[in-house]
Amino acid sequence: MEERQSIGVLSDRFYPLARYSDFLASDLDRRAKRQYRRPFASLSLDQRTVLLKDALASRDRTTQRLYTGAVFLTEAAVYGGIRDDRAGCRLTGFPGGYQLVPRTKVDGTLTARLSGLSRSLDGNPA
Amino acid sequence: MQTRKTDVLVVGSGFGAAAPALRLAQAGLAVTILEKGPMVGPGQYRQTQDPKYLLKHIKGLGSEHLGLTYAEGLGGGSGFYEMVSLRAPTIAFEQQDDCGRRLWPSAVSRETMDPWYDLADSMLRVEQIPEDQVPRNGQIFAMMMARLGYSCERARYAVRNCLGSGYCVTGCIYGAKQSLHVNYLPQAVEAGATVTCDAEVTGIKALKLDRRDPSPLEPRYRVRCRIGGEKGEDVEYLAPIVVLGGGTVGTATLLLRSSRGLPELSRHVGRHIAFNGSVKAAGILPDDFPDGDMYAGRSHPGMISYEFLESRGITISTVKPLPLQMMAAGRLRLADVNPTPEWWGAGHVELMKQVRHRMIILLSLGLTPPAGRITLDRRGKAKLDVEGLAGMAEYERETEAVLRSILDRNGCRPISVESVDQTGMPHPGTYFSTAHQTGSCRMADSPDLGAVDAGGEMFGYPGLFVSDGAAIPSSLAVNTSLTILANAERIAAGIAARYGRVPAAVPGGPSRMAGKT
Repeated sequence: MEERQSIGVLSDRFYPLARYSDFLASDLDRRAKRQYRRPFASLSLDQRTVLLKDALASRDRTTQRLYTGAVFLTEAAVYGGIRDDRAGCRLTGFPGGYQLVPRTKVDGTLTARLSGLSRSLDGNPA
Repeated sequence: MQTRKTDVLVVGSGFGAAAPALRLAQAGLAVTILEKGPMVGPGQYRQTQDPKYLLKHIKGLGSEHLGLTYAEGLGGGSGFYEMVSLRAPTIAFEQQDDCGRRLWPSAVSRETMDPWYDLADSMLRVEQIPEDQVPRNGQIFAMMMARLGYSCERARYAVRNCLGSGYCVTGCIYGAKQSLHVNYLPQAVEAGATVTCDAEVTGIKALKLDRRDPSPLEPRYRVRCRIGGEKGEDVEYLAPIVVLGGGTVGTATLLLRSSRGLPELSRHVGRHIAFNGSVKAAGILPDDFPDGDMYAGRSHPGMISYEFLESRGITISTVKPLPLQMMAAGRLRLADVNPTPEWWGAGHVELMKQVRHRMIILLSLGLTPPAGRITLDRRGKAKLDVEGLAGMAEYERETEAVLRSILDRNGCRPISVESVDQTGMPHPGTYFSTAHQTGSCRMADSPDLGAVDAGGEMFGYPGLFVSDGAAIPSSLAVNTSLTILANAERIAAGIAARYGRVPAAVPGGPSRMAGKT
């Protein structure tokens, strides 16, 4: 669900790509009907992947750039959890903001002997 | 248009600007600070990946082979950096150009800089990270280096009571980071300086002085500025001393735009941009390594290796990018799979699931020559180029091979990182991206070699100083902030000794160095 909500980024006018979101939606549908005779929304994940792969490899440079930008922006939205500062991304375990973990649980927990590795006394080799 | 007078006009409020603002205010001069970006500080920072927030403060200037990142806002980069505060090694100061000439002015070396580093350290309360605060990724990096018999240092940071939230690069909401908001800037205001944000300087003009022997504090420059954005108010300042601290990109762009008002402007302005040749290599940890954690602990992983500094001119550390930084850095793909996987889709999701705990990304910063150049296009917008790319490609290949070798010999699965631009399109061939750029108005012993002298004063323009990263003549192979700040302190002491109304009180500072360059 959270990944679906992230698609909203494509029509967000903050990003230049929003001007082309109608084109992208209709082009995907056109490609779906041409290849599978069904609307894009009804296709399986594998079928959608095939269509996107074709579009990303389009000979038309503008189409290729638009699809590349759309996939890039969607990935950024999903992996970055940008719709909500606290949301993060469950897919990748990104916890999002304002999720303070006690430092004792994350730092120095591997008990690596670090001092013996150094060349300097203070971390500032001359 | 309103005209205002001040003794010192400081352009910018970051590492290169804050020290002159404070020291010259302490020296009894009327100081005005103009910051192009918005008023922002710990109360306004967010822990977010929202580009609407990030792009408000983090800016970029890119070209086909080089991308520079910098911050705009009160405190400049100090609000958004990773707090790493390292001195440039001696070898960085001793670099030479193709003709065998030292890049740095003869009077500036690691030895002469050390007192200024001491002062900068004390102002930012810099300390080496304790062993028990090194984030897991830094510890894993140290384990990898130790397995190969390589040295590794615990790095130094400007932070107090770090809570390890991992969002240093979007601004520390806890006020633990010792950014300029908690030291230089409030102290400058206390000493009488004024700060105006959303104030973009649009041009500088040298005034013709009527008298042959003008007093030192007679206005020499007319500086135009717009306060409050595009629909804001135009104001001009008359000042005898102008200190440019807007950073490598900002200072060069402003000076180039001011070429009519500064007809003798050095041909070196905009040139010799060093970018600390950052190269990355990534891998998936083998099963015999413990889990790391990209998203826990401070943004910088705490450890840095100087093992290859003398032999290759590089330092190596690991990085802990937040997801958006990772996306901006490049397309990640497993490199040992045939056919090469896509950079998107279900397969890519499986790779991204490993980022948090099993991925390690090595980063080198290197002593690459100052080969970047900023010019203006027809509309007056900054444009970036790289001169002499052939050597850069070789450096990139060889450095990546060093990093890859460290990963391979530790049993990591290789990941390819393909650079992309801001729209996600791949950059073929050599590409460097950095937030550690220096140069564009470099210091030099003579006008033939640089834009400003060793004291930061522009050749041919008395009273016009460059005190920021633009003045630094070379790559440093380490994060640049502390060197920029220390050099700005050095330049500020020289200005204060020449123009100050009262002797500047620098607590614990290198008073014996004041006025010397």
